[in-house]
Amino acid sequence: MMNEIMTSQPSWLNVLKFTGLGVALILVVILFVTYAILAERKVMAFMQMRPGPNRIGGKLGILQTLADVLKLLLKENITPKSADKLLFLVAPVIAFAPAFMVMAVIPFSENVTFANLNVGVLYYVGISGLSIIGIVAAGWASNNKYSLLGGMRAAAQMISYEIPLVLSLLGVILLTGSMNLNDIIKAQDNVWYIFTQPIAFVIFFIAAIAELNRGPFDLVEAESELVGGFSTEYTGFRWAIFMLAEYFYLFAMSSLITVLFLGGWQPVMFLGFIPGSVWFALKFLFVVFLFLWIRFTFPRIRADQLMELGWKVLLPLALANVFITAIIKEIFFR
Amino acid sequence: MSSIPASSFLLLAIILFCIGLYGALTKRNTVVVLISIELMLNAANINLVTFSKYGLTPNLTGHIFSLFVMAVAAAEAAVALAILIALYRNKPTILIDEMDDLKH
Amino acid sequence: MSSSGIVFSIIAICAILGGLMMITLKKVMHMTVAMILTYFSIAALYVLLTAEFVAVAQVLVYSGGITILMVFGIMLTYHKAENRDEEKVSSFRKLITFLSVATLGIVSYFLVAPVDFVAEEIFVGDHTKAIGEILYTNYIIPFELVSILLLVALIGAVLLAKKDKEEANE
Repeated sequence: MMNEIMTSQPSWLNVLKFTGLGVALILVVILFVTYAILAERKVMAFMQMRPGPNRIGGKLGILQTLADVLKLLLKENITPKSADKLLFLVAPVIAFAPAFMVMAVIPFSENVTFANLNVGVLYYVGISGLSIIGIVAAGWASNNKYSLLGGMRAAAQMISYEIPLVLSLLGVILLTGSMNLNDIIKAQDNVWYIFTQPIAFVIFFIAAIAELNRGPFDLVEAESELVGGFSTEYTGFRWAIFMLAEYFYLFAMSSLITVLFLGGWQPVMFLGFIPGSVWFALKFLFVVFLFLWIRFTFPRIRADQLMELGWKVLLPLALANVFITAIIKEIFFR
Repeated sequence: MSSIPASSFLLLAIILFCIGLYGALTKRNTVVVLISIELMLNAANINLVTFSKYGLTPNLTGHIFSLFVMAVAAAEAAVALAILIALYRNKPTILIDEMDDLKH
Repeated sequence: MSSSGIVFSIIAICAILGGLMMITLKKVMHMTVAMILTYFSIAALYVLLTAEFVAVAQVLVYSGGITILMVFGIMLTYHKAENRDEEKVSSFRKLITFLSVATLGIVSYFLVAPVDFVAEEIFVGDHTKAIGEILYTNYIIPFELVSILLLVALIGAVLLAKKDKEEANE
């Protein structure tokens, strides 16, 4: 389809079509973000045996996030006097844009994929790496030592954990023989990769938590030591953009885990009459819940422990996993 | 997609190479000189990938070669920045023409 | 002009804009961020040339890796008074450099302008797979050499940047 569009005469219809698709996707994700934040607070409240937000929108607090967003939009946008004005403005955009770009390759159901790239997995990893620059730039431009520390920590953490993340993916790629996410789903017709690649799944999940900067790896914005990390100086709408980027990544990463290890839209055994998108949504919500669960039950770990875990435990494990997978594939699946 | 002539890709590569060369020759900051050299390598890469699609015998060798160039560029950047940091510890300057201790 | 022509023009303008910003901006941090635009545009150019794998590698290595390295380099060596000496380069030297570089550019333009090869579909199907196969058969020795080079660079960079023992004790 892309080739036809590229060689055809340019038309406003195509522009309109793609803009419309993009806007539709962004609306869906924003709806998810709205309720992910609420779910986060509700689950946290449930685990800490308290009611959680229950004032706005009935007992469930359905409109709580909307009210929060409204508050953020109405707040004053403060730019610190000694901040680097240009970079301070550009940094949220650099952090946010990749968060939306990674959604393009994720197959949400049999028919809904925006871009069927044959390097889909690598595309995700490469593009999501761009966000680090926005975070470091935000920390640097704020001209504040807490921000700078937060930014540097973010960069160090994300770079160290990107390596085990990619290496654990190699097992899946080896078994599939393709980096196309659609092919990976199709290869899980009988057995999901969580069963054939359990070590890879565990490594990937831990590395994903670190990539998302969520608890127990949320050193980047450890409020007890760094105030607010890289976003200390940000207020109002610009701060909201950073939060939005964070939850967009939660969405994207959960989708990716669903696709890579839980069989994407593949149904469970004989329940094939339920459409694929419903299966995808169910698995996806389960992964999101896992993320929330882990966040509220583990204490935050120290910065040096974080680095040690990444380089001394996850990286050798991931390498061993690749090695073993290659041998097994060579012996049994030729 | 054949509507773009090969020469326009090559022209873009030339422009980027010239910008990189100008930066490498006139800037004094070591990091900026490094960035300019990376830009020149990138311009060369554009040529390689272009000629693996256009040309008398198009094949994938250009892609392979540009991947090698990237690997070498990454190694080069890592070592160069390590040298810069080691130098900075001994002599607090980042200007490339003040790093001339071996001359005296 | 077809759609791909328009896309190419946009990409080319972005790439050149990033390069020019790199030359003209004052702060090194801004220059580094401007370069991301250029690196990213070049990756888009590779997509236009049906080299997806190279494009993704470009984003991964340049925009992700090398730029972050540069940012670390800037932050670890910089405190204040960023470009106090940046202006010391005489405008005469700048002019001479500009003229020679421009000459080089114009000469190579006349070399390149008559090139009119026709684009051919080099490979039908999965480029990535084909690249992997070539890399592990025809180019296996260079590939292994590059891996050794990267290992040496990794260890060398760590050793160079590490503090000396006496220095750390102080």
